[in-house]
Amino acid sequence: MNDPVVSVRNLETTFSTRLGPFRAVNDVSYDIYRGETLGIVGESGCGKSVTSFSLMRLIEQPGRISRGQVFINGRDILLLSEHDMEAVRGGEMAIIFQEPMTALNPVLSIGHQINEQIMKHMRLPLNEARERGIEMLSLVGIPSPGDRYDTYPHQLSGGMRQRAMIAMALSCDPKILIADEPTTALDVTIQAQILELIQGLQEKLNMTVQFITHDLGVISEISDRTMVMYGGQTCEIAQTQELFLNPAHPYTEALIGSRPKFGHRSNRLQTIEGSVPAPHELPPGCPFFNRCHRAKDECRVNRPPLTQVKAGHSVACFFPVSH
Amino acid sequence: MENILEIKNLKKYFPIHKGLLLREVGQVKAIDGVSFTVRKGETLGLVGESGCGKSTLGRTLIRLYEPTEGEMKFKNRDWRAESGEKLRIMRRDMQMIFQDPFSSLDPRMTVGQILAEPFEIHGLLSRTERNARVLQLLETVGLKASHVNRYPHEFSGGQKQRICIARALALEPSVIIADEPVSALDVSIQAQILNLMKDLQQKFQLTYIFISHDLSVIEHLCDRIAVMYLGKIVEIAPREELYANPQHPYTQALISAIPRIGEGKKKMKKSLSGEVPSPINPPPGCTFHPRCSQKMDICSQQLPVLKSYDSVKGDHCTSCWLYEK
Repeated sequence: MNDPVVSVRNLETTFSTRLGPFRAVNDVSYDIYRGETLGIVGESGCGKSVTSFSLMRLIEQPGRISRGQVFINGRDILLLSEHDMEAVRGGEMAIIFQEPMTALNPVLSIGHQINEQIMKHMRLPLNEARERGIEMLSLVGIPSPGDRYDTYPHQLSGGMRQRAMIAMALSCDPKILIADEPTTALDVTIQAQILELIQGLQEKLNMTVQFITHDLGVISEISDRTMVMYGGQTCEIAQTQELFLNPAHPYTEALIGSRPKFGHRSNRLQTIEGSVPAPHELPPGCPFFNRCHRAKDECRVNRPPLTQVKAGHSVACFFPVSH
Repeated sequence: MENILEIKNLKKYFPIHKGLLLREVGQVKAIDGVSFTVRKGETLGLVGESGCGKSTLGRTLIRLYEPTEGEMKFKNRDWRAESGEKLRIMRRDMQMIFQDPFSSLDPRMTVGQILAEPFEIHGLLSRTERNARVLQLLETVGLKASHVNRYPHEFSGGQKQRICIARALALEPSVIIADEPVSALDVSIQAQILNLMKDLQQKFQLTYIFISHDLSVIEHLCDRIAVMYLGKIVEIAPREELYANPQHPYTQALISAIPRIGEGKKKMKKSLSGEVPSPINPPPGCTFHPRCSQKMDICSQQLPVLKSYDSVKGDHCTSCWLYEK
């Protein structure tokens, strides 16, 4: 395979809280290759969004990236100055957020917000930036983009706002797109439209995508490889099809089993006892220890390292499920 | 099976006031002529996208909203005509679980107070009996007796939803309306709540009206399913029938848009273009026609009726001109 475009090594993002420091992302490493979609899936608080924000260096006080490296095309962006990082953000790498209503500025027109970065990154004059902006709006399937360009976020529907945000993210031809739950706030039929759009644009522009969601169905349909996170750590990473067919981590297996599967109706759903522990209650060993039915004493004290079980399939568990 | 609820041509319009004098300038037709029945002991699913009126329908059924027009029969009594003391007594028999357990519990009341409140309002049971019943309710929904003096913020989302379920069960209702009860919860917690709801239904012979936008969850739980679009039911059928043989183009699009687990990466195909029109000014004729791939001339002129197009499967009703011979 070719060299990875994104290479994350031992990333650790720490938030200082009243109860002491808490590692939202705890020693996470992964690669994404050119043109590939890596899905990151997990429940609330598993660190999937903080991982994406760390990649864009958007972590604010009281949080900070406390360790690790993030290589983008071989360059460690954690070492860049804030000024240099601004050129990367929105230029080389772009992000789509979950809630377009809060991510867009309500007092500026859509066009103004797209312009801003086109003028900054592509150094185009206003009239050309406007042309480019309208072109982007039409690329993402917004009808009559010329008129929409001057509207404000509240005048658009949820689906259209999400499209506008995608247009904004893609306006400077990023090589890497981070999509943080881009369809969670949308209805299923609109979700299908947006996923189709992202897929189509990815092919057309040969982008590398990191796609974050809690929806196993969406991840299963859109990503080439999938990483499962729990308690700020990577549980498992594999080719998507392999992960869903042969989950090796007990958490992955339980997560898949707890979701009603369309067309395979069963009387009872598999459940995971208890709930995700609060950050300061995470056990010192495996974060899943207190909810795991396979856990032994060893899991309580020692953190299982991410180990390869098959080519391209790694799992962090002392007692992985075998199939 | 006997019908516990019979709804005929139910409408709920919300007025829109504008201007200095707040004159009524229009109406949001949240529910626009809906008819269906709910049978004793079944789970009826109401599914649709945001703004289709499914939550308004749930709230109108329990009379949190007064309907604008239509008939509602609950246990063979005219449910719309009831008022005052009689309404209050009948309400014991129909309860609701809301979507967001974080905002539907009073943060200043302990769990014990929350669960005892239904008995206070209805003047049932003595103090000691109430306390015993509260503990019993906690146990029924899988919480501990020691939780009784805690406040809602001390619980996780799933536990809060369990408290809401316990509160709904307190007066031993026969019908529970659940409005997106698992949408705010994590996947692993959703499974716990769905299993709990199934167990309780068996144990207490409950009738559920289950409102959700999630077709996989609906498929898991419901016996019959009504698909709503822009304030109307476009198709209603038993579960297997609906998923095996969806008739309305909207139902077909909705089912094809569900992301499936474990079938591998695939090229997404557009299931439906465009968006739901405004319920203030719905399109004439079939409200779905602007997005429908199979529309005909008649669709934009006349409203199709919800009826069965198959004499064998009389249970499967659709409102679509495609099936009119």
